[in-house]
Amino acid sequence: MMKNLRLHTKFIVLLTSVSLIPLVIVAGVTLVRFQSSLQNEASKLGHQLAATAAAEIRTFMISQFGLLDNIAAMYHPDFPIEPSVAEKLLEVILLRSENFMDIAVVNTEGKVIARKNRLLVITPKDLGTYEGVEAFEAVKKSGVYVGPVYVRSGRPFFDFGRRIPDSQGNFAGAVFAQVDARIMPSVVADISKIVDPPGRVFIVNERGIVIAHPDLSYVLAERNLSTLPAVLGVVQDPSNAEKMSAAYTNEEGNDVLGSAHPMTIELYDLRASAPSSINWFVIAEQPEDSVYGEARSTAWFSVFLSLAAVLAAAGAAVFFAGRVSRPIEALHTATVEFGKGNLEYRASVETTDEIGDLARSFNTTADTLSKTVASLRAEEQVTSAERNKLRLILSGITNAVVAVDMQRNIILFNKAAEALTARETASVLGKPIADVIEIYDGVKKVPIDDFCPARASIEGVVYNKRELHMRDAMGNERIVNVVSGRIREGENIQLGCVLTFQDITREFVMERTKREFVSIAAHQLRTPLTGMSWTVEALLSEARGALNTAQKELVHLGLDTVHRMVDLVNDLLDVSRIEEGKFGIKAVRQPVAPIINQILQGMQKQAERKQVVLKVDIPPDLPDLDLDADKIEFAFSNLIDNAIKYTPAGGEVHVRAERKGSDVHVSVSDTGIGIPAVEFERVFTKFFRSRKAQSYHTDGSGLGLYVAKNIVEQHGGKISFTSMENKGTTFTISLSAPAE
Amino acid sequence: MADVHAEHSKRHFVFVAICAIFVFVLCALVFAYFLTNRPVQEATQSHTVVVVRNPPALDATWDMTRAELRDLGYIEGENIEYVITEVSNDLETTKSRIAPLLGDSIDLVLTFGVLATRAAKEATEGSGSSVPIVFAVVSDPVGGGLVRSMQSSGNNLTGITPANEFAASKRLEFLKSLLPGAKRIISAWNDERTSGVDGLRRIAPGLGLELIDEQVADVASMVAFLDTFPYKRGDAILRASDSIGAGALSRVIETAVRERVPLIGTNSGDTARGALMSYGADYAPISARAARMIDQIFNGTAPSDIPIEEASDFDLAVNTDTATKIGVTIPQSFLIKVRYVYPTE
Repeated sequence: MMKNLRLHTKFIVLLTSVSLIPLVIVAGVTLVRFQSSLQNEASKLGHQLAATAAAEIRTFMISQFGLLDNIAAMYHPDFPIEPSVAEKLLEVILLRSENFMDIAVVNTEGKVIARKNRLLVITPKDLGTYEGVEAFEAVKKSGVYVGPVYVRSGRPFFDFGRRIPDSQGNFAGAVFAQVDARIMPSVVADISKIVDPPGRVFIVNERGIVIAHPDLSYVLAERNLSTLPAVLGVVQDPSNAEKMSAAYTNEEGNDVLGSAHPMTIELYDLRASAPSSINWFVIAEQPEDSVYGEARSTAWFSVFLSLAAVLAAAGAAVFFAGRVSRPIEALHTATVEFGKGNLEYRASVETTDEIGDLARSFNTTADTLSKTVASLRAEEQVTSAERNKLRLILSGITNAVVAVDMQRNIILFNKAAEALTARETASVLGKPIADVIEIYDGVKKVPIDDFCPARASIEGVVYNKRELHMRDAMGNERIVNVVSGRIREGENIQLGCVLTFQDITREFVMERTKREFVSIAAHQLRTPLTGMSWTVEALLSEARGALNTAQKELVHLGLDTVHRMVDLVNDLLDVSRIEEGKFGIKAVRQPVAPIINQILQGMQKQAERKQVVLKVDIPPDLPDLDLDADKIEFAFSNLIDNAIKYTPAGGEVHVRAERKGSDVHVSVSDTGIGIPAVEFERVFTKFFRSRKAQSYHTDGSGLGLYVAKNIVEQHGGKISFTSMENKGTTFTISLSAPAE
Repeated sequence: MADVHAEHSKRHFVFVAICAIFVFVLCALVFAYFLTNRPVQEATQSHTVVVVRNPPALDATWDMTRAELRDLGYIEGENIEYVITEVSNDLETTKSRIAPLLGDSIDLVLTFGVLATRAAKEATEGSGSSVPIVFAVVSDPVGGGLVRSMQSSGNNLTGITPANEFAASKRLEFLKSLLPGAKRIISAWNDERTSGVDGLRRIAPGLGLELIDEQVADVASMVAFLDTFPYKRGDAILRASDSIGAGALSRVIETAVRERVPLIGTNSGDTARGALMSYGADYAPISARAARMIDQIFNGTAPSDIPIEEASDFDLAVNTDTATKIGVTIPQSFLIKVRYVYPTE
């Protein structure tokens, strides 16, 4: 759901942005340009207002100057008019003019020669002089003069001056008028009506003092509005006053856009050297609302429109996104269900567009997949059954089976292994086998590479050793036969080695116990047997009385028996010693022939008795061998004795010795009963007596061959035989000659 | 599966609902903005003005002021109330008429003439009130001690002065120019300052005129004096430019006509009523100015921030009917100086 919302949101954001961003950009640009064009308009308007004000005031001034010109004409030096008449006319002009408060006529020296005032009675002593007055000098120079606005007794005035020319145009005096300056406030009041309230137009002089304002109080109070940015610009830099100031809040608390425009009123006197201009500035304040009002409302409208567009886009996006994302959501649900294992789930999308195609292909894939999964499941069940079977089998096997992987970590550890090592499978799985099992051959530890090599060139058994030692987890010693094999590395097979341990501890212990018993028994028997032998021999020696023949026979028999028993005991002791590893040889280099000959000499009588022919073939050039004479003699005599024993009368026993390469082979062949083939394997084992031998001759300990083999092998030689039942047997001892 | 869809639909609905609410709120805001952005007429509260008339001379001025206020948007009964009283004979009585009318609900006092103004000033001072006082037609307010200076009163007064303290002398000059045969000027005055009697005394001899001035206490005395004065040829009456003179106007006009004595008034209104001639400030602009001052004060400006103004239009007026009645011929050379000729055709 969350993921789907993201897609949804993406759609909405995208569509909204696509619709909104261009709109906002266009609106923004338009607004900025609109704003700047409005500002231009305002600036232009301000300019126009200033121009209008200037024009009107100029017109006024010109009209006043017109009047002054009339008066000047009256006082033209060449104009014949009586002063008293001129005075009367002056009064008429004064009274009939609307704006003149005072008119004064001065002569070339500046002396007032006539004066009329609207309010004051002018007596001759009230006539003063304009000499040295700025106005007079100005008129002399430029022919015209307009003085600054000043307030006197609650009214604003300014002074005008006009030169009286003579017929040559030279300076012949001047006319000065005190003019009511209320024309200016009324002009700006009218012009202020052009701007929307609370906008206003007013005029300041270069010091920022209001000289005309729709509210006369400002003028009368001579308010200084230098604090307003528009006026401040004028005061600070009168020469560069024409500029549009930024919006500010004026002293009445209104937000306005102010502009300052210098008033240029040029008053020409044709003969003047330069036009006199006036340092006044028209300040036009337009209310910010009305200047930017339209822009503001447009801006708001744009905002509203943009928001509407956003909402429309969002609505469309929501609708559209839903239409697109719902099938995707359905698909997503399908995959989720699939992931949960619900393989029968099919996406339900019927649209004909790519998403529909996707859904259909998904369904097809789902079909295939579900079939595959079903068959895989079936296979898995089979495999699982097999695995279980294997596990059961393994549990049942009495031998310990341990399998390791390529890194020689234990991956299989059956029940028998648990019993052998006194560890639990769970505790050893995954552990290196070297940590769990240590095998000793005698006292030497068997390296792991021997019984579980990392690499094996052959598949199959790599190690097969019997009677190895190991300790279980409790510290108890165990004797095992170890067979280990490698499974050749395949692609998917992780087995490394499989080791089988046959726990022969009990058998081993039993063997040892048996051996020890035999040894002890034999030792124990020896003494009495020696005694018995001595006793019987003593008896036979007739040292203690004569024996008759029958008694002698009996005693011989007894002595034979005793000797046989002694042999047996000796054999047992030998065997015991062999088994304990105490049966060593002392080798001395000597010829072998004499030993054999000696044996044969001793066996001659026995052979004759049994009517068996003894043949001997011993070449004289046999090399000397390293022999323990007693022991090798035992081996040879055992073979020869057996040969004689198991050959029936009339048979033959042939003793041969020959040199074969660096070896000396001594063979004893007979034509005796032979050994059945099935018993070949056990011929050299302890207590072996062939059935045939047993049925033929009940004597024999069965130990002779065992000991003989041991003796031969200790000499570094080999003992072997061939035999055929009822035909004969040949035993061969081969000994290698020492290197010269 | 149905669960998922239901969840989705619910979310959809919630989203759309939120959008709708948003749109609605936005529209409301926009609407409200546009509404409030229209220039709204200031809520007009009602103002109460105490008017101290000075009939008959200054009633014309009062009418003009009232008309001007109406033009400025103050409709009687809607947003302005006038409590009208008039001056009495003297200062104390006038004060006693004004004082009871003052109260918390009074927004302004409008006075005509110096007597009314002085009475109002003292009445408000006495009650400790600082209610603004606007005076129309009070000459020499600084000299009269009503205000500190022309630029700022320094108190709760402001208004317009017709500068009669100067005009008074000028009147003599014009009289002499109209009637060169004039010899004596009779003037009964009450207020030394506004009547400009000082100037009269200075100027008269220079014009060859003998000034006979008499201070009177009230209208009755003024009338009595002028009524019983022994007039001879070459006499002229100069109406005092103070409140008593204004109050006594009708009676004085009667006397002048009866005695066939030229009467010089202070403004064209006097001439319209029957004075032979007058020279002085035009009262119409004064009324307009006063109305505007009242408007300013109602909008929050303090009286001391409104400089006192001087009237600007000083004009000659003559009454040809009166001239005929008293046997005076007005020459053309004088007429061309005249602004207002009564009776108007």
